[in-house]
Order: sequence, then structure tokens, then C-alpha cells
Amino acid sequence: MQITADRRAGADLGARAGIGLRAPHYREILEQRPSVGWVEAHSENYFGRGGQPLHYLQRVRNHYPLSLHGVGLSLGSADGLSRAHLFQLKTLVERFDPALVSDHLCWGAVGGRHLNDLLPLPYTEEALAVVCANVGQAQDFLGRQILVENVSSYLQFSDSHIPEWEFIAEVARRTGCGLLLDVNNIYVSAINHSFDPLRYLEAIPACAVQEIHLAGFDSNGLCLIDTHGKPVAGPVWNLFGEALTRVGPVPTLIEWDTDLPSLAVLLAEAAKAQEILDQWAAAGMAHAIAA
Amino acid sequence: MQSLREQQTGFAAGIFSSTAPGVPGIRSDGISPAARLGFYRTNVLENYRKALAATYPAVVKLVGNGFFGVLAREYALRQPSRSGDVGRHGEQFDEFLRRHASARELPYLADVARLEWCMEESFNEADHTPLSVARLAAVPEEHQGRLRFLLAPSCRLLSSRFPVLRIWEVCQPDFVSEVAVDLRQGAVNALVRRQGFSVIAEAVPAGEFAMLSALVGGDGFAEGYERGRREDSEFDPAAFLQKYILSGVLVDFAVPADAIE
Repeated sequence: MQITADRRAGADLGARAGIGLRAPHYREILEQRPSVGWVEAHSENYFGRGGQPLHYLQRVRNHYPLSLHGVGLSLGSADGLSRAHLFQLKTLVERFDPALVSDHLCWGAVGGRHLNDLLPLPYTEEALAVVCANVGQAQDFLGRQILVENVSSYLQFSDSHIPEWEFIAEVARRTGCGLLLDVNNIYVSAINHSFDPLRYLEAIPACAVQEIHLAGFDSNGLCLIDTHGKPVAGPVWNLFGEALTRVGPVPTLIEWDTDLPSLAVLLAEAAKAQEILDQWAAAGMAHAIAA
Repeated sequence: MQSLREQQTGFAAGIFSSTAPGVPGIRSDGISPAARLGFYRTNVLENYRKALAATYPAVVKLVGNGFFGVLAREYALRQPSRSGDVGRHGEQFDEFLRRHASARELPYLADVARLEWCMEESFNEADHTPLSVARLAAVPEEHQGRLRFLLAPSCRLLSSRFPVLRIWEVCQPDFVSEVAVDLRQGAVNALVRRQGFSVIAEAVPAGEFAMLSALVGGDGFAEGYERGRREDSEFDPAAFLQKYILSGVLVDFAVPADAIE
């Protein structure tokens, strides 16, 4: 199935910047109703059966479009997906009707043991088949398209022989899933593994990209680490601009999960992303008129 | 060549082994494969420590951040996580603490952890509408003793031979008073429940606790009353009903099938 630009589910969110929804900000968001385009919630944070988290997610959902972003589906697990996890995700999706549902190109469980982290895959034909089968199963079970996000990585496997950008493009081609392009993760991995991030962007099928993530990274002295605990770095903003020239203006999220700042700081980062999205849209319009 | 499953199994073993054996198939590219695996080990263990600290703030306060880090690491290495939701990772922490060497010095630590896990579960449990008093009033008197009452999903009962509620209270960040707890205050029976979105934990008298436990176990009202009276000869079932219906603890009841005309 070819996904044309206007058929992207992400189009529902518009070329708008969004913010991650975190519990300390619930009340302020509802009181101030800041003009962000949408919010993204971590699916697993709402796997409970009731109480405050689901109540506030519902109230926020009443005012904003929603994206549900998972960290625990483990799309790269050789063992396949957890039915229980899929079931909980489906319950959430049915209740909140999100514009987008996403998880990561990684694995996080083996032999029934979860590592609760975004672990790297070898980019092999076998891993490609596993990921495609799992993405297919998730989409069939949920009855909808999901987005798959590239992760930051701190190592590469010697049997990897497909570049990550070709691997993720092939996952989208084979399964019809959308892509969530994490520009910060591309930058972090490009530095860690010495590749040209523009080469990555060039290889991504633009029409599959339905969301962009921006976040801050850290360094442990040897490697850049994806921590989501800082403002977006200068080179990542630049790469964001490069990404927009290739994939067009897509919903863009500021991710900030650790050392959570005040809502005002988060909104200022989102406003910065919005400004760049607007510049791109204006330039695109001028280009269209001139043509 | 290793299969993907073998590779992932080996990777997980490398993450959780404190002796850090080499994991084959990792490229060095200027940083040793062991160091690269170590970046992931650091992330995984730190994720678990943070998740655990968020669930167990009173335990953190009792043992201090440093020793809590040691406990969290040992727990993560020993206790496999069974869910993609990291929030479930702490489920067996009280059992782990009960068997831990530190239990000899802080014998109440595991019970404080048990209380905090009950509070965590209560926080996320299903909501329930209040019990219909009109429906209850319509039950003929001869059937009342056989009614099976249901507690709100967010209710948890726990007993400790230590004053864990008092210990928990002095560990709260806003607590200002004498922080010494006399362990000879002794045992407590506690009910953890949600009021609105706030979780509260309160001490419950022996008779009421026995009856609540009986109801949770599926006993009918009359059997529950017998259990309560064994603990407290003054136990008043009418006052019990009124108290726990008003506070939203008893949320529903079932009439046995053979009692329905």
C-alpha cells in the first residue's frame, strides 16, 4: 500500500509542535490550555485500570489530539510480541482514539524476561523478518497502522550488514507501517557510529514519515547517550531543518522525560519547533505561488 | 552464526551478570565491546533504580539513597522483570527485602515496602460507583446475612507486627514532628484505599479488619460478622456497614441465587 502525503494519519495533527504529557504538568495544562498542537503520552504509563492517570489523560484528551507512544512492545524480540501487552495497548487505543500509535525499532525482552530498555538490533535479514512479522502482528491486532521510531544506539553488531536507514525503510515498505523519525537519535547514532546523518535522511521514504521527535542528549565521555533530560542541542535543530526539507512539515514532538522542566520551559522548546515548522510552511507556500 | 534469539539471550545475560562476561558479536570501533555493553547495563539498572525509587519513597528515606541504590541493583539482577511496563518491576521488592541480609537490622523494612506496593496498586486500580443504599434496603431481612459484599477494587488489606503506618508517616517529605517511632507500639492492621485520586492508608480495629478480610475472602455477611466478633466481642455489624458504605469501601453486593424469588 502506498501512503500518499495527505493520507498520512499524522496529517490529523497538522504541522504542529506537541509536548510529552507528564503527570506534574496535568493541572497546569488543563488550567492554561497552552496552544500546543497535540500531546503525546507514554502508553505504559496508562496501563492501570483507573484512578488519576486515566482520569487526567481523558481530560487532556478532551482538549487536545493525542499520540500514544510505547516503550515496551519490543518489536524486535525474536520471541514475538506479548499478547498481554498488546491487549492492554488495544484497550487504551480503543478508549482514547489517538491520531498516532508508535513504538521503537529495538528489542527489550527475551525468554520471558524484560529489560525495559530500548536495545539495539543487528541489521540482518533475520532481524528484518522478525521486526516485520512483529509490526504486522501489532497492526493486525490493533486494527490500525503503527509508527516505528529509530533509536539511539551505543554499539553495533558485527553481523549487521544492512545500514539502519535501509533497514527501517524496508520495514515501512514491507509492513505499511509509518515512521517516527527521531532526529536526535539520528544525530546521536551518527556521532557514535561515524556516519553522515544526511545520508540517513536521504534514505528515508518521505511519505512514510508521520511524526518527528526532538530531544536532548547527554555524553558519558565516550558516547552520546539519549537521555531526554536537556534542551534540544544546536546541531539537532539544524538537522531538524534538513529533515523538514526532505519529509515536509510533520507533527513534531519535544520529548523531555527526565529532569522534567517547568511547563513553561517545555512550551518554549515546542514554540521553537513550531517556528521552524511555520518557516518551512511559509517557504513552501511561497515556492508553490512562484511556481 | 548465532540466531537472533541466541544473540538476545546472550545480551540479556551480559546485562544481568555482575561478573560482566563478554558478549560475542559486538564491534569495538574504538571502544571495547565490554564498555559498550556496560553503557546499556548502566541504562537498564538506572531505569530500574528510578522506577523503584518512585514506587518506594519511604524505603528510600529509611535506608538512604546510597544503600537504596545497592538494593535496587541487587534486586534488578536477581528478579527478572516480567512486564514491558517498568512500573510492574517493583512487585516482588518486599519479598526480596524480607530475605535480604539488611532485614536483620531493619526488620520492618519489608512491611513498609509491602505498604508502598499496596499504595501503588491502589493508585492505579479501577474506579467503582458507590453502593446503592436503596438496593440494599430492598433486600428482605431473611436474606441479609447471606449477602456477599464487594470491596472497591482500590482496597488492599495488610497486617504488620510493626507500626508501619507510623513509620511511613514520619518518612513523608512534609512530616514535621518527632521522627522517633517506638517499635513497641506494635502491630497494625491497615486498610489502603483510594479517596478520589488520593491513596490513604489507615489503621483498622481488629474486629473490622477480620470482617473486611472475610468479605475479601468471599464470606457472606453473617460469616464475616462471626469472624469480626471473634476478634472483638463488642463488634457492631450495623455500624460496620454504615461506616464502610459511606467511606466507599463496600461498593456492591451479590444476593445468592437461591435467595432470589
